Amino acid sequence: MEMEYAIELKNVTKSYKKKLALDRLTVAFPTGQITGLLGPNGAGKSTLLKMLVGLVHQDEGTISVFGQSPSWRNNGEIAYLPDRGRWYALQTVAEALAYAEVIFPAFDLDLARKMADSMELDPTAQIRTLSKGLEARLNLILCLARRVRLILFDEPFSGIDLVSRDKITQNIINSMFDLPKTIIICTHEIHEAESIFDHVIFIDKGQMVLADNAEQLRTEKGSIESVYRGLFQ
Amino acid sequence: MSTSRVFWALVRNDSRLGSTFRFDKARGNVSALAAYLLAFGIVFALGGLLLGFGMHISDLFAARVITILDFLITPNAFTITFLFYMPFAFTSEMLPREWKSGTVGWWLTLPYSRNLLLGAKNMAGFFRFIKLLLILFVTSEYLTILIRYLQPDVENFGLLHDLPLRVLYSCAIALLLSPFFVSMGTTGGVLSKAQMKGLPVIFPALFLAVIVGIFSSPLRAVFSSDAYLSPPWLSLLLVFGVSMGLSTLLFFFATNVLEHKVEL
Amino acid sequence: MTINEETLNLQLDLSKPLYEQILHQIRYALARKDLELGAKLPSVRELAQQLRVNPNTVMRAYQELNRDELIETRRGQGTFITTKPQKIQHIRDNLATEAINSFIDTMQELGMSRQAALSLLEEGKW
Repeated sequence: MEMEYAIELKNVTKSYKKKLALDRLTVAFPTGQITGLLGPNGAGKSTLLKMLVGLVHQDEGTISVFGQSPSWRNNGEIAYLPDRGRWYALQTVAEALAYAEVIFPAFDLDLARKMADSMELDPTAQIRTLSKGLEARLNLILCLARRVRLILFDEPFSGIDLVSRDKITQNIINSMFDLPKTIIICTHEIHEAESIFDHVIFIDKGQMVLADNAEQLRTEKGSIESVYRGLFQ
Repeated sequence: MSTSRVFWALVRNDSRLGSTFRFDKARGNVSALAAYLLAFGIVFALGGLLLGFGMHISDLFAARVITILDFLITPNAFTITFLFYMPFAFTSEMLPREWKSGTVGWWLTLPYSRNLLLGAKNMAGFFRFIKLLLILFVTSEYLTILIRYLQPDVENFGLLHDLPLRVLYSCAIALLLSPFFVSMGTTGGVLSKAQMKGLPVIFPALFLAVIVGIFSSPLRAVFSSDAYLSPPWLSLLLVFGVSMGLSTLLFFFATNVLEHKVEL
Repeated sequence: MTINEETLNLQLDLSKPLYEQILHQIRYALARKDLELGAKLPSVRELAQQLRVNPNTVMRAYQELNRDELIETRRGQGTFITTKPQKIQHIRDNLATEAINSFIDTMQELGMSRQAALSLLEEGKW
C-alpha cells in the first residue's frame, strides 16, 4: 500500500538545558490515519507534538507538516489540544464556543453546539465550575469542531472519568467521517484508546523504537498494550 | 474572520482576565468593579446619612481628608509613580497569566502574527488603565463635593480649588505616558518567559532611566503643581512623542522575542 | 430487523487483529441464521461507534464481506445482508469445513486414528 505521510521528522534533536528530549528522531505519520504516539514519561512525545505547531524549535533536523516547516502561520490548519491545557475559566461554555468561532479559522459553530449538547455540556455553565471530565469534553469540541486537516491530542484521557473518555473516543471516531483528517493521539491510556488507532509509533528517550500498522502489530505480536509492556517494562 | 474582529475579540477576552477576584468560594466571583461600586455605594450612603442628619464632621477630620486628597490629586512623585506603575502592572502580568492559567498552549499556537497577540494584550491593559483613571476622577470629584456640603468652612478647603482641572491634568499626563509603560509591562512579561541571558538587569534599568530622564529634563515642567493652569503644550507633546516612540520600539522588540525566544 | 451490537454479539479481543474478528463474527452470525436474509446492517459509522474501533477496521471487514457477496451496499440506503440463500449456505459450509479441519488437526495431534475419532464423534453430544 502506497503510504503518504502528512508529517515527517528527520534526525530531529532537541535538548532542554543539557537534557536530551529528542535524539536524532526520524519518524513519519501517515496521512488520513489515526496514529497513537506511545511511550513512557519523558520519552519526548509532548515535545514532538509541540514542535509540530511551532511551540518548540528543534536544535537539529527537519520537520515537515504537509510539506511545510512548522510555524504559527500554518496553525490555521492544525488543531492542537495541549497536555493539561485549560480554556479561559471565566467564560461560559456558550461564550467559549462563540469565542472559538472568532479566533479559530474554520470553526464550525453549529457542529460545536450539537457536540456540546450530545456531551451534556450546559451552555450557561462557567468553565471554572466544570469538572475535569466535562472540561475535557469541551476541550475536545474546541478541537474537533474545527475543519482542519490535522489534529493533535496530547494526553486527552489523562485523569478523566470513564464516561467522558468514552464520549471522547466516540467523537473522535465520528469526526473521521465528515472530513478526512490526520490525527495523532499521545496517551498513556493505551487500553482505552488502542482500538481506534490505525497506526502506532512507540518512542523512548527521544528515539523511535517501533512503528507499524496497528492491525499488523496485533497479527504479529498481540495487543498494543502488551507490545508496550514488552518494550518498556 | 477578519483580523480586526479577531483582535477585538482577543482584547475583550484579555480584559476579562484579572478583573475578577474571589470574594468567597461559596458566593462565586465578584468583579472588582462590583466590589468597588459597593464600596462607593457605602461611602455615598454614609455621606448622604451625615448630610441628612445635618451632622458635621469635625474640622480636624475634614482638614486631614482634604490634605490627603490634595496630595493624591497633584502630580507629585508619589502619584505619578503610581500612575506610571499601574499600566505596567496591568500588562506585565497578562502574559505570565496565560502560563499560569494553562491557556498558553492555545494562545501561542493561534495562527496570527505575534504583533496581533501582543497588541491585543497592550490594548486590554490600556483599557483597564483608562477605567482606573475614570474611577479616580469620579471618586475625587464626589469626595470633594461631599466635603463641600459637609464642612465648607474648614480652613484648608482652599486646597481643593480647581479640583476637576487638576485631576484631569494628572490623568492626562498619566495617559500620555501610558503607552510606554503598557509596552514596558508586556515586554517584561515576554522576557520573563523567554530563554535569554543577562537581560533581567537591563530592564529595570531602562525603567528607571526613563523616569529619571523625564523628571530631570526640561520636561519636568510638566509635573509642577501649577502646570495645570497653563499646560506646557509643547512639553506635553514631547512627552507623548517619547512615550509612543519608546513604546513602539519596545513592542517590536517584545514581538521579536516572543516569536524566536519563547518556547513551551 | 435492525442489527446492532447485541445481535451481532461482537466481542473484540484486542490481542488479535480486530478486522478479522469482526469479519469472522459476522460470518458466523450469518451462518447461524442469527441474521435474516436482506436485513439491514449498521453503517460503518454506527458499527465503528458501537464497537469503539477505527472506521477503517469496520470498512475493511465490510469490503471483504462485499467481495464475498455476503453483503451488498445499496446507494443511499445502506448496507444489507444478501438475499441469496446460497451465499449463506456457502458460508455455513466453509465455516463447518474449517471447524472439521480444526477438529481433525487436534485429533491428529493427540494421536487418534480416523476410526477412533469418528466413533468419538458419533458418541458426542449432538
